[in-house]
Amino acid sequence: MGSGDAGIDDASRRSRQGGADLYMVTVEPLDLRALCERVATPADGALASFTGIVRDNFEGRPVLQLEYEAYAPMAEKIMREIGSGLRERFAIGAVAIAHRTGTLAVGEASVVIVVSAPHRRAALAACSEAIEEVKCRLPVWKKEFFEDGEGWRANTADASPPADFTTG
Amino acid sequence: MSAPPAPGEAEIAVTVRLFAQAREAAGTAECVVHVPLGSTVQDVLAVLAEEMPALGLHLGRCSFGVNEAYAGRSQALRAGDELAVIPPIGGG
Repeated sequence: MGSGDAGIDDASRRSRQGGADLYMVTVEPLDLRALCERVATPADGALASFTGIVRDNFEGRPVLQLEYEAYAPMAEKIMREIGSGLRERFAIGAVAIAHRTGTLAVGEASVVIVVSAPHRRAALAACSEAIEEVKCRLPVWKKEFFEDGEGWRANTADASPPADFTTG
Repeated sequence: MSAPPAPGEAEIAVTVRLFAQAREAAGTAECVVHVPLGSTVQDVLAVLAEEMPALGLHLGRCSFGVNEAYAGRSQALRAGDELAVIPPIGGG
C-alpha cells in the first residue's frame, strides 16, 4: 500500500505530532482501515499490514469458531516492547498492534499489525517481524471449536515463549 | 521496608492469575496464595500443585509472569505480587 492510499488529511498530520503507535487488546472487531489511518503520516511512503484471520479448518478438520483469551495488561505491555524493538532495528514511523479476544467466527480478524515507514523494505520487514514476535511472546490463548469437541491450540514450536525471560 | 521477621513467622500474599487450560483445571481465574517471606515463583507453584492437583499437571508446560512481565521460576516474590500462570500461548 502506498502513501497515496493512506491519504494526507488533518488526522494523519496530527497523528504525526504525538506519535501514533497503538497497542490494544480488545473484544471489538478489528478495523484495519482505522489502524492504517492511525499510523500513516505524510512523511511515510509505505504502510505495511498483516491481518490474521480465523481459518475454517485445522489441518483439514473443520473449525466452527475460535475463542481467544488474553492476559490483556501484560499483552499490551509486550506489544509496546515489540514496537520499541522494531523501532530500534528498522527505520519506521509508527506501529499499531491490535489483538482481539472473545468468540470469533471464521473469516474474522484475530490480529492486525500496521507499520508505517518512509520506504517499503523497512515497513514490510518490521511488519513481518512483528507478527512473529506476537506469536511467540503475547500471553494470548486460542480455543478451537470443532463439530465434535474443543481444545486449546498452542502456536507451533518455532513460536515458543522466550528462553530468556528477562524483560529489562 | 521494615526488617524481615524471623523465618517462619512472616508470610506474603501473592495473587495468582490463571488462564486458558490452567484456569479450567483450577476451576478459577484467580486465587491468593500465602507463602513465607522470601519465597520464589517455584514455591508458589508447589503450593498450587498441592492444593489443586489438576492444575499441577499443567504447570510443567507453563511459563510464568510476575507483575505483567515474564519471570523465571527462581524469581523472588514480594507481598502483593501478581503471578500469572501462562500455558502455551496461541495468539496471532
